[in-house]
Amino acid sequence: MIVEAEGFSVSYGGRAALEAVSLGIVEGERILLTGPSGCGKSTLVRCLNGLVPQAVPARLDGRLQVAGRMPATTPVEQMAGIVGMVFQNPATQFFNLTVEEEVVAGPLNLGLGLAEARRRARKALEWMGLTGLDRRALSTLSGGERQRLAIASALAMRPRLLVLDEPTSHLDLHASRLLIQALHALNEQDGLTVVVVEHRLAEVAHFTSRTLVMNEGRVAADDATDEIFSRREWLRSLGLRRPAVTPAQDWSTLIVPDGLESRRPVLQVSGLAAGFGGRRVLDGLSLTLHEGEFAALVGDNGAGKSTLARVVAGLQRPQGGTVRWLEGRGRPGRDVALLFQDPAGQLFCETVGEEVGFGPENFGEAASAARAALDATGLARLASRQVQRLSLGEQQRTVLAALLALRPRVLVLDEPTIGQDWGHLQRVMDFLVSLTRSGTSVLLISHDFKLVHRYADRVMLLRGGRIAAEGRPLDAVRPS
Amino acid sequence: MRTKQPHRLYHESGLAARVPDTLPAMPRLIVLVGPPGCGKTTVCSRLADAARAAGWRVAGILSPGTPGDPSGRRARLVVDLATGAARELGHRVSVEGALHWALDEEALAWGAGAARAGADGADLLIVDELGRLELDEGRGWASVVDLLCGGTWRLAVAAVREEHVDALRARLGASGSRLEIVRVDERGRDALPRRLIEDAR
Repeated sequence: MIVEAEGFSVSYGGRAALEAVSLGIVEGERILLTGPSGCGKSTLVRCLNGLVPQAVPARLDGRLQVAGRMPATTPVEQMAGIVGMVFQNPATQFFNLTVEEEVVAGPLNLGLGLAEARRRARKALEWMGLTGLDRRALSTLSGGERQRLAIASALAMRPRLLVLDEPTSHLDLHASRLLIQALHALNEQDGLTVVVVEHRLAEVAHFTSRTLVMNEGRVAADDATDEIFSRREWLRSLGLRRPAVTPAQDWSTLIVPDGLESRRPVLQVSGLAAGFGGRRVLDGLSLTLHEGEFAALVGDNGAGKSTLARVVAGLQRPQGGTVRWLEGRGRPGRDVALLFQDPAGQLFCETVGEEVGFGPENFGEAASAARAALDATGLARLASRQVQRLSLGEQQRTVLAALLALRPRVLVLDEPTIGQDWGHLQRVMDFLVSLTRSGTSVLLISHDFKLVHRYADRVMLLRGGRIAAEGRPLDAVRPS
Repeated sequence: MRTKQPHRLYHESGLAARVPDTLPAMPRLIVLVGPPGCGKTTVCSRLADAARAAGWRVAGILSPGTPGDPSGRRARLVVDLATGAARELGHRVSVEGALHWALDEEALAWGAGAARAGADGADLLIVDELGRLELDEGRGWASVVDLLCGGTWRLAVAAVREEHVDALRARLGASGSRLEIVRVDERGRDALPRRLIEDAR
């Protein structure tokens, strides 16, 4: 057994996160760990390498052993050589300037020589399809490239157990496949034990053989992945989506050209050039957003989706071209709001209620807007919770609620699916659809083809610095 | 007078050097001494890890600080080395500009109970750390100090700050004479855990 837990409980400041969890994981298993947002998944995996309680104070009871060690008392640096961990938000794990430095740092910390560290780093970058990016500054990487880099950094340390928290949330189809292939190879050749924490079951369904479903801090089911996935009604009742029957395809085959757009344009971008440093990511890009539309922007990792989002939101100055608002001024935060990939950077108040109420209060608007936003995002019962004690999914919904409370005319969401189970995501998306009916335009950036298909009435594919295809999603079924 | 073996640690001359002659059957009692931040807790944690790897049964309590959660709140834990269970021992509070640890009485009592419960049959007993509360006021983990006086383990280790060494020696009474002082500093600390285990074999 590489992991053995017996009656293992964890609580933070009196609030239970795990309750009497008992489970065993045999070396070489491939496990999917899933459950609704806030069910205790993240706490469990953070206990495996001792981050809880050694970095995040908590009350622990019962027994947990990983590779024969007690993670709560074993020095963190020793656990790091056994358990590799990649978090939901990879950026929080980086502390170097370039890609190569980042991947080499782990093996060096294990006491390996520079030559061996470099050899491992090269191999890990190759596994993750990052060869050739060695000298790039981390600040120039896209969300997906960062995620792959975080995984490469963990693999370079050759752990016995690799824990990946939502590894595909920032990845395009190609990168997701590459990751699964690499994990398969490492599992078969080296007997690497892999635990994948995911809400999006489809992406990893074929890779894992056993699934653990957590709910309210307990292990609610532990069985073969096929067996668990056959309990569709039960999974749906937990807010977990069942896996897609058809595998994802390339975006260019999924967009059907649309007829003329009859709705009123709100925002016109023409001949846009933008980037950072000396790199130009967007070049000659033009697009129009219309009143009350639900548009989606898709594209590969590094295509420039987040850059476009920042320009549209007025947070980044274009290098060329124009962003024209047909009426109003496009004031950042008021006319146009952007939900970042990483929600932590957008939170600054003590509690959820204060965070969501801040905007309306600041602009002298009614508190009812904040209440409606809390209700729509399912956060009303968490209003007095400290924002730092929320799960990532809850933090993201808090930021979204804060943005919605100011009723922006254009709302840009950059990969809002991270940390969200399907139930919560659906609720938020349904609310956004109701906003579009009252004229708000939504621009959704996502790799999640199911989400895009279900909700977007227009899809734009960003490739080669411009919009390469545009139309309605193939066979789109929008909720009425 | 014995000659100092090269791999032995920084004994205080006199008391510690007499140990093998007077009390040959008693387990060693090592006191790790050093200022806050010198690595006493880290040495204890590595020592526990190395002992377990050598097949020893480990008991006692460890009280590591945490780097602080995102809101900057720094906490101290007490971890039961026998089971891995943990409690929040307290957190930093500012009283008139000076930082203090506000300790939780319930967690202190839990720690003392955990040390006593695990001590029976252990090969290594670790107490991290003893201070004014125990040695001057007879509170906190004072009951654990008595545990250090005798037991069936091979090695007992306590962590204290320099200024509390005399109080600990006095508190231990006759057993105080067995106490071996080991200063923890940056140079020696990485090799320390393994040496302590090898010496006690």
